[in-house]
Amino acid sequence: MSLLAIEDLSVRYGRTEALRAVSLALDAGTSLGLVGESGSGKTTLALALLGLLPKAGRVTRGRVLIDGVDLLTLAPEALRRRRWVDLAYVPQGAMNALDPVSDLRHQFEATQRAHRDGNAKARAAELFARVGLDESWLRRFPHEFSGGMRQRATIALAMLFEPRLLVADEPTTGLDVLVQRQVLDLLREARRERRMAMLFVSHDIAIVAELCERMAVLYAGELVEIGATADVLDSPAHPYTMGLRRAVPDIRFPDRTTLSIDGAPPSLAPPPKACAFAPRCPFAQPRCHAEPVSARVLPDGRHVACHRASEAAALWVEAQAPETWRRAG
Amino acid sequence: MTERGLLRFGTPSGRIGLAMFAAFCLVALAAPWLLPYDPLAINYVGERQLARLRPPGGAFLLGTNYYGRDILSQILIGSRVSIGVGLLSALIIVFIGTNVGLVAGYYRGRIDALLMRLTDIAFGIPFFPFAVLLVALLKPSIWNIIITISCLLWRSVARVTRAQVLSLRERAFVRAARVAGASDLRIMYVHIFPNILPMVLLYVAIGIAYAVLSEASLSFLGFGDPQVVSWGSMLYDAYTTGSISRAWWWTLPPGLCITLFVISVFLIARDWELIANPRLAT
Amino acid sequence: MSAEAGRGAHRLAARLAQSLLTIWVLVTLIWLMFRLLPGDPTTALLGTGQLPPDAIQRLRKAWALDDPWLVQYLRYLANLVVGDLGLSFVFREPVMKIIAPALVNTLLLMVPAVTISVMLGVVLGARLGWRRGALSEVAGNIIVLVLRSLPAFWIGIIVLVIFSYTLGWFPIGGIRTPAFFPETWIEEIPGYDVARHLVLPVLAAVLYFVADPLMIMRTAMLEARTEDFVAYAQARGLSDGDVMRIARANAMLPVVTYVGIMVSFAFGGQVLLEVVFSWPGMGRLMVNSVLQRDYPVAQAAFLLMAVLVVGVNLAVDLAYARLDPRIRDD
Repeated sequence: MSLLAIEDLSVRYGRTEALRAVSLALDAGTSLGLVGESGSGKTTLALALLGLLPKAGRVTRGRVLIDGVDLLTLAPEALRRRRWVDLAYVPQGAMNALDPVSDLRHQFEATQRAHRDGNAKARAAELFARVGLDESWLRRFPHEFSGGMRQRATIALAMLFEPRLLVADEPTTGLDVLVQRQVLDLLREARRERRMAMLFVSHDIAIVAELCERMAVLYAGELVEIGATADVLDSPAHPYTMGLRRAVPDIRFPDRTTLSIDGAPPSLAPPPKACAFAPRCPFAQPRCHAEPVSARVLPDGRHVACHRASEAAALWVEAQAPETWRRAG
Repeated sequence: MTERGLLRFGTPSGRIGLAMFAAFCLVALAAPWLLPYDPLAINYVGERQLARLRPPGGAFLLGTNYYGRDILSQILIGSRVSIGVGLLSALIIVFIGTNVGLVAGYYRGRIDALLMRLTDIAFGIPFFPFAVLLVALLKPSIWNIIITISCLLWRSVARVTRAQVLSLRERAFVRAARVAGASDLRIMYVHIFPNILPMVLLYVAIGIAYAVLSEASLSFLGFGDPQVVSWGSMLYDAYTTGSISRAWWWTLPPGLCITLFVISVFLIARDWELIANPRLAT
Repeated sequence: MSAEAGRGAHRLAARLAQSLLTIWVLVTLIWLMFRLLPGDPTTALLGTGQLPPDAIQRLRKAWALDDPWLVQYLRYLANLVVGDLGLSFVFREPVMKIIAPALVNTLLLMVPAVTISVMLGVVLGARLGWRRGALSEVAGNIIVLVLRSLPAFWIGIIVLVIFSYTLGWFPIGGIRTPAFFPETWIEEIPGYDVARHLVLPVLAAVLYFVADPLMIMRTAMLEARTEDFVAYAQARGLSDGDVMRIARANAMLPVVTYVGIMVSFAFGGQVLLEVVFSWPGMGRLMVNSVLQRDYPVAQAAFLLMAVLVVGVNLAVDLAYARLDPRIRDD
């Protein structure tokens, strides 16, 4: 059984369907990167998984299973007890996630007290050391930390109970490059040491490529492609992923110009009935605008939500050429 | 901008507030024609018996007070003073405060420093004790009460207006006006002022509430104009004649009127606050 | 001195200077007011027809009422600094002697009242701002609305009528029962009599004061709920109570700022409540002395209240700096 299994999850904010029938699975010890542009639903997915949807958000369908237990139907106290112990969270770099008026030591202790007996002081010092922060910083307040240090502190805090699953929501966004490197190295090390599974949400494909074994691409609230990172990046099967790949510079082809995909994601209130990407897709056919898409499984195990999934290899060759992208839909 | 929105009351409570406010104002205006008795006339029952402290009923719908005066008539005529002083004081407060805030926020520099120093001092003076001193030292009259109430309470309006003006003056439309050669006065009053109007009106409402409460309090202490009746002075009479425990019909109506009127103003203010600061609606 | 301590001291000095400036302006303003307005210390006496005109002249000389204004002003300032508040016209006693007990009585009422209202306001406001149930929201809104609209003196009157006149549970006013002989062992506890007299005024005062801190706390709490650190605390599996306490600690800062303003308005309510309950504090003293044209006492009572307000505001500013770690290191 997978550690994490999200089945058919749909989330709505008022009239907007931010997430539509998303399914994915994560085995223990593995890592999955979730990529998509802003508004694709990736943060919504992370929040729904953690049970932190804002008041306006509603899960309309689906299940979130950890070890087979549906978090969405758990009683509040049962859910609370699993939090941080089974499933921890590293928030976005720019967020003010830490309580401004108490020092880090208190925040560790409060977390410890919520779940276990005993003193967190020694453990906090050890965790801080692991992330490269001196113990004296435990007595400081969040505003005294730099952005990178704050991220390292939240990673340390996330490791408190050695969770089996870590959800990292854009943890390096807003940090400068050197600090990004430090944070990524930390995450990789933490995973390796503890065999921790990780769901890494980001809009930066390059980071996901480096850190995650598997990759999922979200577009307009739907999962369009999910598979091994190497497969998805080297031979993308969904036209949107192809467009994304051509938008990122590749060191192997330094002279190749990067392309952008014309147009913008569709409105999700109400959501499109057929393929959401069809209006911008260079390979769209009449049925793409008419019939809803279901996921196909490719020989290498990838899931793709495209009517023309079987022709993926040929389409990818075509996608390399700039002219392909100048004709929309 | 949102002038139309100010009359379109969004919430049911705002509409109730408006209705109550309108009712009070109408009664105050029509009072002289509604009076069952002369409010200051001493009434008698039969030939020689003073109608003192009679409970409600019969000839006197709200009963009579210690001096034999009809309470309903006093309530009606008192509304004119209580409401009128409230409205006038609020207008003066906002007038002074808005202008101070506009000038300070627009010109900045030394003028701003001076005006804000003045405002800080106004804030440092405890309002009601000062009002008691001032109104006691001046001759007791309605106008002196209005002046007393207005002379300090403009301070909050000044601060808030200045803050808004400080941010508005950097906006594109102000710069455009300046480039087009508009004079400072024109920019302040024709361009900037309409944009702070929602906030200003909110403070008019708040000002009415505080002014009414202040007038009632000053009158209760005996510093009111002895020639007029107001809701506060009715309570002064009730208290000083030792009647508050004996005559609930004298104690309750004036206090209720004050409270209900202030409630209506606060209800209106809350709606306007939602317009001036839409974030609060969530 | 380290840089931080230096900055702190600098800030303290600036605030202190501003407070002193405000006090000086107040003192001067009051002095001017009393000089400019009709009547002087001899008018009261003249009015009663007790003294012949040449006696008036001698008194004016003795009280130095004919000296140039600047001289009188400077003498007044000098006396104030030394603590000489002059003589009461009515009681012929040093004003200080009359004011000191009144000050104690006012504090006896105000300190518990303000403390209880702030604490109550914080706790209730936090609760109202945290639980989004429609019923508690509506109830909270109505309670706050009504409390803000009730005149302070009317609250006092109603409280008196209900609990004293009708139910007879507490005395009608004043601070002591004249000729009080304790009968039961409870009554023998020192301060029992005063405590009994304190209950109703404090009740009325709390009802009057609590509305604003409650409202401010509730609004601050509503905003704190949407902050990132609240969601993060929930993600960490902290109990709802713990998360609420975190939100509350952050939401309290605006309330602390407000306490300074509140004390200023509190004196207004204090004056009215002291009159209603015949509580012998500075508020009632000021009102009575003004009515009796006993200007030195009125002046001194007002100044004392104003200085207290300035002092509390200063203390609140400094306390806020300690409470909010972000400002502390500014």
